[in-house]
Amino acid sequence: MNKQTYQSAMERLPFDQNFESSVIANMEAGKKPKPVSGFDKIPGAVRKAAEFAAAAACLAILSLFVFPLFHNNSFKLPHSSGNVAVRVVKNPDLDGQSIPQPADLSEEEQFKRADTIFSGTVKEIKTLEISLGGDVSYRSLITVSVGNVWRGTAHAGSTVKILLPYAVDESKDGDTVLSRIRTGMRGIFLTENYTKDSLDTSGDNALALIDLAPYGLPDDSCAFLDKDSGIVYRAASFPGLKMNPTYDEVCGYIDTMLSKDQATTTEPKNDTTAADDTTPVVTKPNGSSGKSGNSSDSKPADDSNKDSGCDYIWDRATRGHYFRIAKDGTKKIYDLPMPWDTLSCDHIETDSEWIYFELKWNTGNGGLYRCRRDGSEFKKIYNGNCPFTLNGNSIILRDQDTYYKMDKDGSDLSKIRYLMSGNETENILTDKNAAYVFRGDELLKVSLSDGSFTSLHKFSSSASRLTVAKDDSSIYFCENGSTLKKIGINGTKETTVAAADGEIRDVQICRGYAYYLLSPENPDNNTAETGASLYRVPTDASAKPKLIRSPNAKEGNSVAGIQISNSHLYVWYDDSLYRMNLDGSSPTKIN
Amino acid sequence: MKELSADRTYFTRLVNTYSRMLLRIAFTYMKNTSDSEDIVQDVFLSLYANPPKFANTEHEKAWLIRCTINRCKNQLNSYWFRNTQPLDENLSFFPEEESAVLLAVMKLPEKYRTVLHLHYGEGYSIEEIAGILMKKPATVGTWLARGRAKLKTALKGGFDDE
Repeated sequence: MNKQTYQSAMERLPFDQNFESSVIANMEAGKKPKPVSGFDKIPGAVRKAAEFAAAAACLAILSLFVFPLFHNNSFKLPHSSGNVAVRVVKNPDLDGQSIPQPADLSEEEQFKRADTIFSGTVKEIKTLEISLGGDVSYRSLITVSVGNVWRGTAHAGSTVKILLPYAVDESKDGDTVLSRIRTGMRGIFLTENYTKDSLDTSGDNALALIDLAPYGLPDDSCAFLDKDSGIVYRAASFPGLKMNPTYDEVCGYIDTMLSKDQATTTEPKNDTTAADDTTPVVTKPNGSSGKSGNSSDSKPADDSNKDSGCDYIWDRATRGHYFRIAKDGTKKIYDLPMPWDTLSCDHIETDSEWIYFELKWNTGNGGLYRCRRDGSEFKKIYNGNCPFTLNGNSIILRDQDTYYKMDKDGSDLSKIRYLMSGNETENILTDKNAAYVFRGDELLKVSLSDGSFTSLHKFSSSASRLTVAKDDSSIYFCENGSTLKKIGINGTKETTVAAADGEIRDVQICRGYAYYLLSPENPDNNTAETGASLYRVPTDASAKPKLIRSPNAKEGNSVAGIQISNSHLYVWYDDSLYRMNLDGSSPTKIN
Repeated sequence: MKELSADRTYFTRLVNTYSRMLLRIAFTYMKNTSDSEDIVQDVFLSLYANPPKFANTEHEKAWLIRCTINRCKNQLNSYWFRNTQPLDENLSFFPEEESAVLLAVMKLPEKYRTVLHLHYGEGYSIEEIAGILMKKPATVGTWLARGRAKLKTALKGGFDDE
């Protein structure tokens, strides 16, 4: 019983019996976590001795030289009280900083909340280290040259300071709106006017925010930033604003919102219930009310739907974006009102009108979503972590061990078949009438109409076969992570397509080739997983696998993902997207 | 407006609830109890200093595990820790069978060791592990299978599912 033995062994490990009380005591004493630095990487006892010696040696130096510097960068805080200090710092460790969630407000409430609304250009961004009762946090302070003022106490042509709710790292784009703010950028700000009563408190200690700036942004819903790639803003907070607006359109929208009556509401263009991941599954009996299916959803066509030959690519680098890439390589960004803390998009498919996404967030939960090709009508159509595929006018999905069929708008959900566990392939393989399912050492063909199944093939072992793909004639699977095989869809002729010294993943089939990522086996226990390369091999195994993209200094450390259209190969190197020919030639950077 | 006050009752609950689990996870990386305790203490101190907002208990647990793993990896990426010793801890007082199993698991490559521990040691499903480690379930499944296969050669019976 090695499992139980392992569990017993882990329980027996001699951790400090008073560990919990020691941690709690250190928390209450205000002890700070160690930053990850060169000094921090010294083993336990050696580090402790070195820390003591270093602290003693540095104390005199600090007294003579450092403290005066601190005071020169610090703020006078006339309206604050208690143990409070604020100073300007450079390059602090922002890892794990708390970012406040946008308030759940309607767009009317967003504008009511804002005391002063103005446009301007960011002249400077500083990082403030705020010590409040011993707790340290960081926030950015921006200086803005004011342009147009819609409302409030700012004046056109003046220069004002705005306090952000968290610190911005200008060296990289984060996932949130304000993390993308940069010096020189134009923006529109919905600010709060600080007063002497605008306080951050911790116990008896109080920081008066007016000591730092006259204006503040409560959260990420309070700014529209004008970047080269388009306006960055939180779409979910402003459903009345058309998708992908220009700067002038945002200004016009603000004019409208500030002038209309409180009672007027506009029909949202995006369904913001998608942001609530507790939305129940749409499971309605046959013929019930609701949207009638994608073919009868009517919407006036606009320019963004004229997308013959366009490819839709999920933006791995940020959450909530996808790209439409035209034939000439022109990129258009669509910003979706994503569920909070969206982790990844595991699968994306399109039909003539809609884009369908399998989204997942960090607790392992997920959902199936769709939107029109112009990004409108974004809506959750299934609640659950489920691979899916489009099949004619239906969606076939697998939730846990059960296969379901539903209409493309999420209605008319019906169960096809429950299959016992051991069936966790990352894709669903179907043709018009059947799903092909790996279960243990068997390959099954499951009828989509009545759920009956037949065994197509029995393998010689119960190896793992979780990475799968299909073309018209064969089913491809990766056995034990390192051997790519195929078998005919009638269950005959199991053959090896490629065997690798490493881990094969993300297999895709296109025009007679199998494409896959290969991560090398790494004997070094302590090396992070990096360095995946992209290979392709003829599906008839008539030639050896050919390396077509590998990590390099220019493009990136690892091929992180691929997406194939009929004409192009899209390759993610870390957070950069390249488009290239299907043989890997002529790469062009998209993002 | 950013909220800076700490709920001490809340943090005390977190420490009491998750400490042992996080210590075990840290041990699978650091291979000794002393460094594991340092790592996990820092996780809680950083959480206390900058508390994120958790959607639910599962998110809370996943965040703590991922933070622990990230800190372990950061620590191990320095030359001080570039060792391939399977274990740094004195297990002389362990029953022979337990020390043999522990040693075999600790000899595995890091990714196999991690998923094996999360699955068999902490009871997480493949889907849950995929969410914690930000990997695809198929990847986790493959690592689990390969880790089991390697253990089969090291241990009689390996870690076969019953």
